[in-house]
Amino acid sequence: MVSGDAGPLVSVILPTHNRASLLPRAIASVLAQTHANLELIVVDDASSDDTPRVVGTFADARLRYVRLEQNRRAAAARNVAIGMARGPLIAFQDDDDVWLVDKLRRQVACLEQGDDRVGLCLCAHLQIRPTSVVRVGSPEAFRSLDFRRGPLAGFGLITTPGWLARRRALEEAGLFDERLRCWDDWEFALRISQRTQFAYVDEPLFLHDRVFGGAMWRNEAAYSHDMRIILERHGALWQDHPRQLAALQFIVARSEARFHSTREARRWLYRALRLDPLQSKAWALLLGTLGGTGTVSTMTAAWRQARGLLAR
Amino acid sequence: MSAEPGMDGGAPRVSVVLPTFNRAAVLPVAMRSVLAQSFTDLELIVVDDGSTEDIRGLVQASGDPRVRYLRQERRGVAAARNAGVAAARGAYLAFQDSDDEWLLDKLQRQLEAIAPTDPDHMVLCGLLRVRGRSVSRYPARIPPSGRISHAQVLSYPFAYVQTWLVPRTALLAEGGFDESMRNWSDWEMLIRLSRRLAVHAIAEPLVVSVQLPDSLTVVNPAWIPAMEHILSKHAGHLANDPAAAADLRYAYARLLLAAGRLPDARAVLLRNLVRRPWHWRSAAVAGLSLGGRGLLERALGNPR
Repeated sequence: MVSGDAGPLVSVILPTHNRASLLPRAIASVLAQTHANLELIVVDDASSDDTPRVVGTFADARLRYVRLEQNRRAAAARNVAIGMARGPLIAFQDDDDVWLVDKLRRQVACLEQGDDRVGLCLCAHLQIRPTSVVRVGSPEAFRSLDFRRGPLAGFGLITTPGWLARRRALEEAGLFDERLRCWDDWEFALRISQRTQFAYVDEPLFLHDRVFGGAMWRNEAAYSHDMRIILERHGALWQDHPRQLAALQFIVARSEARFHSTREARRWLYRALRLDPLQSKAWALLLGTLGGTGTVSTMTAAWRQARGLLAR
Repeated sequence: MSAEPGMDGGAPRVSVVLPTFNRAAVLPVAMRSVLAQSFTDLELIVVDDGSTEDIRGLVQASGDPRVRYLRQERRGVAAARNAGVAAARGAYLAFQDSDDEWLLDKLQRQLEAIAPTDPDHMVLCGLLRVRGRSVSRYPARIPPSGRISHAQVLSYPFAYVQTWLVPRTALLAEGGFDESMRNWSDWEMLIRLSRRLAVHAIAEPLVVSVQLPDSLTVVNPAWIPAMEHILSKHAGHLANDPAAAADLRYAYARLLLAAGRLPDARAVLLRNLVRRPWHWRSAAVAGLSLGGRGLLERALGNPR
C-alpha cells in the first residue's frame, strides 16, 4: 500500500512473558505496519500461559517464534532475538504496547535521511491512564537527554518500543546487559549514545497502556540491584558531577531501605551525604532507617499520600 | 481472526464509510487501519468529495477487494457520508475520517459490545485526540453503565463520528446526515439517533485522531449558525425536554460570548433564567458577563 516490499528489512523483536491476553494487540499492530518489509521475532520467555497458542493464531510468514525453556528476563530475550535478526535495522515491541500503523515507515525515513552517524531513532508516544492520556516526548526533552541524570529522568523517552536502531550500532555497543532487571534499556541506550548519535521523530507513534502494563515498569525492588551495576560500569560518567552521583546513590539506599537491608541502605546514605550533605531527602531516609524497614515504608506511604492531597 | 470476508457476493456485516477531500498524504494510514482490522467481514467505501488529488489511484493501490471507490462533485462531508451510506450493504455502519487511525480491534470490540438480545443499539468508543503538543481523551466521562443518555448527547456538541457503530436501518430511517449543515452534521445526526435507539460507549480509546497543529481552532465562528440550526430544527422535541433545552441554549450562549457577541449572549442566558431560574451555570455566566469581556475571559477561558 504505502511502501509494499520497498525499503530495508526491519527485524522487530518482541520479548514476552505470560501476557497471552495482551499479546494479540501488540503483534497485530506490528504486522499491520505500512512498512511491510519486516520480520517479527517473538521471544517467549518461558511463559506458562496460553502464549504459544496465541502466537500460533497469526498466519503470517513474517512471524518467527522462539521459546526460551527457562525464564531469563527481557534483556536476555532481546539479545537472543538480536542474534537471530536478519535485517540491518532493528525495532523493539513490548507485549503491552500498540504501535500506530505508520510507526516503522516514519522512523525508517528518519534513519535513511540522517547520516550514518545516527545509530538510534526515538519517537514520542502516548501513555494511556485510567481516565486521561499523556504525551511522552518533545523536542526539548530529546535535546536535553542527559544520561548523567540517571535512569529516572527522561526515562520515558528511552523505552525500547520507541527504538529503531541500526543493528551494527547495537552490536558495536555490546548488546543488553543481561544482569539488569529493570533499567537494561536505559543502560544500553547510554552505551549506544557513547558511539553514535540519536535522532527523534516528534510524533506519537505508539500507545503504552499504563492501565494494564504499568506493573512491570515500577519495579522499585530491583532499583538497588540495577543501580549498583550501572554505577560500577559507568562510574567515570559522574566523576565531575558529585551531586548527581549522590542522587543515584540515594536511589540505591531507598530501594535497600524499602525492600532489602537497612544496613546497606545506611551505607549508601553515608556515601551520598558525604558527596552532597544538603540532600534533605537523604537525611530524612537516614532517620527512617534507624527505626527499621517498616518505618521507611510507612514514611514513604505517608509522603506519597501528602503529595497526592496537595496535587488535587 | 474473526469471520471470513464476504467476498462471495454476500453483504458484509459492517460497511465503513470514509469521505475525503484531498488528504492523499494521510489517507493510506486511515485506510490501512480499517483494512487491517481484526474483524475482517467489512467493506470500505471511500467517497471522494471532488478532490483534485488522485484519490482513485490511492484506493486502487490498496489492492484489497473490500475497498470501493465513489466520486461526487464537491458537496460537503454530510452529503459525502450520505452517498457512502446509500451504497453501503452492511448491517452496521462505521465512519472513518481521512486523518484518523483506528486501533486494530476497534470493530471487533464494538461488535462484541452489541448484545445479541438487543442488536438495535449504537456503540461508541473512546478517542485520543492529538493536536500538536496537546493530547486529550474523549469522552471525558462515561457513566459506569456505559449508557449515554439523550441529555448527555445534547449537552456535548462533539460527536466524533469516527467512534460510531450504528445499525444501518436506524440511520436510514432518520434520513441520514443533514446536508444543509456545514458543521456539526454528525452531532445533529447523533441527537436524532439517540432519541431512536440506546447509545452505549466503550471507555477505552480505540481511535486516534491526529489533527494538524494549524487546525488549532479553539472556537470556530461557523459553529454559531450550526447551533442555531439545531435549536430551530429540534425546537419541537426540545419543548418537551426543558432541562436539555436549557443546557443547549447555555452552550449556544457560550459560543456567542466566545465570538464577542455579548448582548446576544446575555439575551439567551436571560431567556434561560426566565424559564429555569435554577439553571445555575446560566446565572453564573450572566453575572460574570456584567463584568465585561475581560472578566469573562479570565473566569472561563475559552468555551469547550
